[in-house]
Amino acid sequence: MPTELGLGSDHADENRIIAQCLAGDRKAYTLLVERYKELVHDLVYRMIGDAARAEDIAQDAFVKGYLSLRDFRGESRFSTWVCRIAINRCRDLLRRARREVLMPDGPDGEPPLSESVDEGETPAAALERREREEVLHRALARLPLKYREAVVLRHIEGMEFREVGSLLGIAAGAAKVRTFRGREMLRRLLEREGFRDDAI
Amino acid sequence: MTRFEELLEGHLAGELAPEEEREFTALLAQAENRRTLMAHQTTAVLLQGVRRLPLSPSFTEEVLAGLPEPRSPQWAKVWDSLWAPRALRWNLASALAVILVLAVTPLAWRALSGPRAILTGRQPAAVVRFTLHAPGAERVSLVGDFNGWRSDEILLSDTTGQGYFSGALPLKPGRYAYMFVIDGTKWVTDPTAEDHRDDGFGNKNAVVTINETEQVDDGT
Repeated sequence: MPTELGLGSDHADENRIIAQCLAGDRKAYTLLVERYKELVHDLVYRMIGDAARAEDIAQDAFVKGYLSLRDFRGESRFSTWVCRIAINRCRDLLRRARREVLMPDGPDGEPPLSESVDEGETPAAALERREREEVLHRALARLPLKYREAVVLRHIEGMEFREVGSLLGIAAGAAKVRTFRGREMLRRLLEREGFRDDAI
Repeated sequence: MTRFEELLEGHLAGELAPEEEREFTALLAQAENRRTLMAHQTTAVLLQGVRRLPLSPSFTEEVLAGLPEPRSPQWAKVWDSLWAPRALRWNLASALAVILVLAVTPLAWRALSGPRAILTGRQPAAVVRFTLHAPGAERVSLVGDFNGWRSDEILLSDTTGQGYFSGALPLKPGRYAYMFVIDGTKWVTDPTAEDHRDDGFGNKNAVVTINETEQVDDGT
């Protein structure tokens, strides 16, 4: 899924857009927001587990990114940079809340469901997929924050270990270890929810 | 992290070199390793299948609404010129000018900052009246700790025309040595001062003490 996110977008093109923004062209920033809004919003949502607040935090991250554009050195991609801002915001929020997930969404503690349906997906298959996502949402919420960050960035947002490490401020090797351990914990949690390894 | 786990992570990421892939395949001969691989593959596929939540259609507009208004082109130019990196070129004249500025600044600061003991704002203070009977004098000035002993700064006036020169000065609480200077040349100790102390040159300075609670002392 993450491959369509534009993470591989042309670096020079991004630098040109950023130069336009710095020259006062606010509309140029629209291109960057459009390109990465789903990535940032989804990342925040997976981190805090609250869809409504996730949108606010993601928007704040983009505004803060714009205000700090002058500090952007172009050493990493803009997406990495704005995701780092978003992650820091999530950490602050979670630290203040003293809980690792603020609250499960929805009236029954279920996550809001994606309305998209695969072409040719039967209602039964769509229902089954949604149930899987609900279980996964709950299991992710129970992971310790540092493992959740690594698993979400690597597997849901599709980043390479180098990029995961850069975002979390750790080496790529450490990002690999955290991802493995996080996935191992997640697997055990899913097993307790009745998932079997051949369930997909 | 065991060697197998390390290779497993590389395998899932598609990062293994051919010889590592062979090593990994060899380790899969153990049933436990095969089970671990399957479990992790399943979890990874499950995670990768997660769909993104839909965003509100106004997301981008709301971000743009939160951005500051753009600066006018003139201001933008000024702002940019302030932040633009520049290379400084030096010559002897500019170096001398900088040295001169650095040398003069502390002196100018001292000269301009003036006496700190004399109050100008609304602070706790005592107004002290200094008086000297100096018949025949044309000019009497007051000098002391409070004004850096500058004799041309505080001139007392003879309002009676009978040689009684006086003036009032607001002072912060503290203990100050002072003298009068007659016609710019003759230094005189206040004969009515509450206290005196040696000035280090064989004479006595007058001393006035302002306590914290003292507000007005107009009778010296």
